[in-house]
Amino acid sequence: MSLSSNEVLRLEGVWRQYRRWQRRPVSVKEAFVRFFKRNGLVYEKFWALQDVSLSLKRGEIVGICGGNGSGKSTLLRVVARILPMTHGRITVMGKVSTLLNLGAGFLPELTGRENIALNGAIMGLGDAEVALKMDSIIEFADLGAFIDSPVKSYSAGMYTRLGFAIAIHVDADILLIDEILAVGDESFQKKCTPQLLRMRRNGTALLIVSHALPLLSSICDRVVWLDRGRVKAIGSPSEVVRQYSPSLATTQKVSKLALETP
Amino acid sequence: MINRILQDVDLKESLFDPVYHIEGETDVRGEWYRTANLIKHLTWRNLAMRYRGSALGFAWSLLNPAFLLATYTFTFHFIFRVTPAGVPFPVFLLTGILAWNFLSVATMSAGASLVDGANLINKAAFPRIALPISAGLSSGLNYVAALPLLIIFSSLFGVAPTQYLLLLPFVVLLLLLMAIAIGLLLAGVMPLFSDLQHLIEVLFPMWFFLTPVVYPISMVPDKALFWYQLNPMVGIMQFVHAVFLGQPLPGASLVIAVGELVCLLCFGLWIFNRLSIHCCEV
Repeated sequence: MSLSSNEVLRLEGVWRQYRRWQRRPVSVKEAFVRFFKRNGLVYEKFWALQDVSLSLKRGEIVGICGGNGSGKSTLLRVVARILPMTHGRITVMGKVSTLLNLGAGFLPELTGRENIALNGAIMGLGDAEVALKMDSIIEFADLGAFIDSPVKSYSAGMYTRLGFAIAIHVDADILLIDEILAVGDESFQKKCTPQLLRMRRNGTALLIVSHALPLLSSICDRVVWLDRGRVKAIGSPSEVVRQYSPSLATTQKVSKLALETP
Repeated sequence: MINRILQDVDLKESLFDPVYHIEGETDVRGEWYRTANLIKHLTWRNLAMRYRGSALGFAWSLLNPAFLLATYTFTFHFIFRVTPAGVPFPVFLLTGILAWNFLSVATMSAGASLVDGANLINKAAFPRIALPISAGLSSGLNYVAALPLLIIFSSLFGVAPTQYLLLLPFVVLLLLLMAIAIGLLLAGVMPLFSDLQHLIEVLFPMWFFLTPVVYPISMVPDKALFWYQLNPMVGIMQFVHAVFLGQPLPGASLVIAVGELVCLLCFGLWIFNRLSIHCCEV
């Protein structure tokens, strides 16, 4: 089934199994030997994503929330094709760009400037485009003289600013963002939101994983609540946040108790 | 039985049932351009990182061939009396060694590319085939950079370049494609089995001796020639000798070699496409 005219991304029944090996055969010799033993190849199966279906339209911002281990990052990585899925179907229209992890795709030995060139190439920009946008990227990242130092000397916040600066200059059709917005300081966060909205106006669809409920409520058109790999709720931000918050409160209560008991 | 083991190590699902399928209207020409541009950047980065911070830089990569040249000349020419027709042994040897080193380094680095580039793969989405190809290309550029020195070395020994030298681009192309074909195959499997590296490091020297690098093919007994020529590097190495040393162009062995190369390339591409998506799981 091909996408309807306004859709850019559709997930249908996506499952992803994760195998936790007791002792995974990492060598050809081991695999061979284990095969002959009765119970050599033993692993636990764990479903990181279960029957996830989702549709994204042009220029839509969809947030994904959920507890730790609910499969949010896995979902983004499966859409980005970094991880394979076990069952299901993903249909994509256009270019997918990602902003996952800190220092997404940075080589530590290279300087910030060189990494911009490399990341531009990774994200599909041509050399001319990168040269054109270089100054604008450097200005947004606001790293000062550090732009010419090796990236391994950067702090987490600097990584984030640089990664984000590059990502917003790529004309992607779909941008996947994984919890990195929480890492920057407040002035940076104030810079981010207008940029995300600008991208939406240009027609880029955003899929954002975030724990920050205010962020989800303010800019997302829809929010998805993922719980242990399953989609527990999809809807407008206010609806989903209302359903999601009680479970947050419970976890907070439990951890507070854990802190208080001697 | 085989099914069970393949399934348990994920190979079956990957090789025979494509479980992953992304479709959409893609700008094919744009994708090719993007991949080529990425390969260019990665190749450049490979070379820059290899030689950055090393004072002698390029000279180091010549050290290994120089060492082998001295040792093998002593062993095979002085002791074993190997004498290629019409060409001084050191020239014959160096031509073969440079070509073989290119193949071996390119294949190993292409094979290890998904493992070495894991931090890049885990964090960004890009066509993974760019990694082994750029690894092969950087070795290729190293080889091409060493060729003028080879020509100078040859002329010092009185071997003048012939018109066969015009076929030089094909030499580089054949060696590169061979390295990429095997490299793709290895790159797919290497993340799953980490000791494959050691296995390959044992097999390569064996293959070296089954190829006419330290001896001319004329020394191979006729009885063995049929099986010997099934080695794809035999035809390619003879081609190398023809281009640089004016030896006669190979016929059947080169045809066999190219045929096998095409098969290997297709197989390598298939394996790589099926398995590369799984490299992050381990």
